[in-house]
Amino acid sequence: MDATDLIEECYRRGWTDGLPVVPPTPDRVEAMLGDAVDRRDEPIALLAPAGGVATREKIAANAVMAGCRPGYLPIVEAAVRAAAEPAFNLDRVLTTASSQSPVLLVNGPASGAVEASGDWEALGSKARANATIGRALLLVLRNVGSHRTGGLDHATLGHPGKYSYCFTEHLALSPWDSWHTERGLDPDRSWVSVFSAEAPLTIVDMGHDNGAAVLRTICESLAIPGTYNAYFRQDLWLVLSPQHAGLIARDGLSRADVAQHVFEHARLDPDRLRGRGLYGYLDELLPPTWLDDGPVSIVDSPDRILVAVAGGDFGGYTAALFGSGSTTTAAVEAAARPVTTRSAS
Amino acid sequence: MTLIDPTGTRHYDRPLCPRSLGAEPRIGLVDGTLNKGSHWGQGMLDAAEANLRTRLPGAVFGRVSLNPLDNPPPDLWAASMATRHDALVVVGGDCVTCMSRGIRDAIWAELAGLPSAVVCTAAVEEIVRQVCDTYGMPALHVFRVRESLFGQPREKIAELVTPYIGGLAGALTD
Repeated sequence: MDATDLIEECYRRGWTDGLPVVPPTPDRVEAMLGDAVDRRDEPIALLAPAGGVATREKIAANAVMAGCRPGYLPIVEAAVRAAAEPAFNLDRVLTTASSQSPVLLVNGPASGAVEASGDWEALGSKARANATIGRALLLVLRNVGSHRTGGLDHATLGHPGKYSYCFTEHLALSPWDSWHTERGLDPDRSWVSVFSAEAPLTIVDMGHDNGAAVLRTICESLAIPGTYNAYFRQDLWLVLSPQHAGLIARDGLSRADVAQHVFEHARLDPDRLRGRGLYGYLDELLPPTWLDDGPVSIVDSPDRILVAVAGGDFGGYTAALFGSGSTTTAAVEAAARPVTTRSAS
Repeated sequence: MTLIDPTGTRHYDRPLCPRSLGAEPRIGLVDGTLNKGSHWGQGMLDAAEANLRTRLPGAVFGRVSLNPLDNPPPDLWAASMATRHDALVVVGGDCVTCMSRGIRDAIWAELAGLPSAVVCTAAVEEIVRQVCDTYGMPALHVFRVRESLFGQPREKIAELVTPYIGGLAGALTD
């Protein structure tokens, strides 16, 4: 079999996400495992909905297929462990009809070690680490958790983030410390956070030079009735461009202040919720008095909001990653150092 | 050329639990629908209860309403059901989310020793089959309603469902 035949064989076996994969030959998988090759059978996580055992070798094989370099494996492993956390609710994430996909935020030294990008195209198609680490997680979920297109995944529409959805912060241009440091986590250690999110909603404000105006645009853009957040009021990720973050910070606001401000101001009047979106669909699942006290915030606590800074140095944009009502953010520590790598023949 | 298998799919076939309901079985009727406002769940359970009252005259019924977006550990959920019920009927609507949870719950209930059956609509038939296969219990009793329930009132839903669940009592007892 030549290289093309092997790629076609992977399609034939149903292992791919629709894009071609790097065939997981033994030498490539061993190279991915590096000095962990002797621990290849170690179970890393049990993955819903099928209860598949994600051993280190299974994860490595999917990382190979995604196009990862060997040094990425500890981050992929951490992402898999995060996705298996109960808070993430993998079983629902992989079987829901709603259009959501796991999104990864990589913080700490590991993001630099693998050259993950928080720069231009942070949420787009540029850096190999972003593209392949995100893809590797999704392939693991597909192949080990039985998350197969046409199989258990029955998202009505899906979204392009189902190929890959992974980024890191642009700390060089961020006015604040990294997200994990501000959460009190050791800045010298690496963390991988996962959340199942809708496709990013881009919020543009380039007409103002102050943070208050930018936040007003953001809050008003977030307060829309056709989201799960409007009803379930669970987690929300906001990815601020350096320009937006800089304007807001210049007004003296911290990252926590941004979350508090959004909690207080991204609110929907009950009349904008009644008769719209999920209203009526969920009536017995929501508290009977949830609309009795006036405008309803899109989150039930500022702690629900993860604020990150990423993107190029120009552009007044914020990306809102809405949730789905069934999943919250899970974060786990990644291995302190990348594994030693071997060369694939 | 050998390729390392990246899949973790397990192939197994779990049997149904033994059927040995007593004369006065406690039957849990589980509304697993997300869209409670549609009354699909309650309408389907009305039909199930009417069917079982006829065929199991000593049965005692209790309704359970759950949010299919919640994700309790399935073994603990099933153990909880087993303290209150001797058998379960789980229903869901045209909803992939609620049916995948409902099928999972029914399978774990079987594993906990509770004879269980699922009522769904034909719209989600494929996902139901796949979830049964995924959880390794392809023989789970599933009743498929080949009528559209969309927009129907509760009483009409029960009427539409009734012809498709004739074997419900047998599924829990035989």
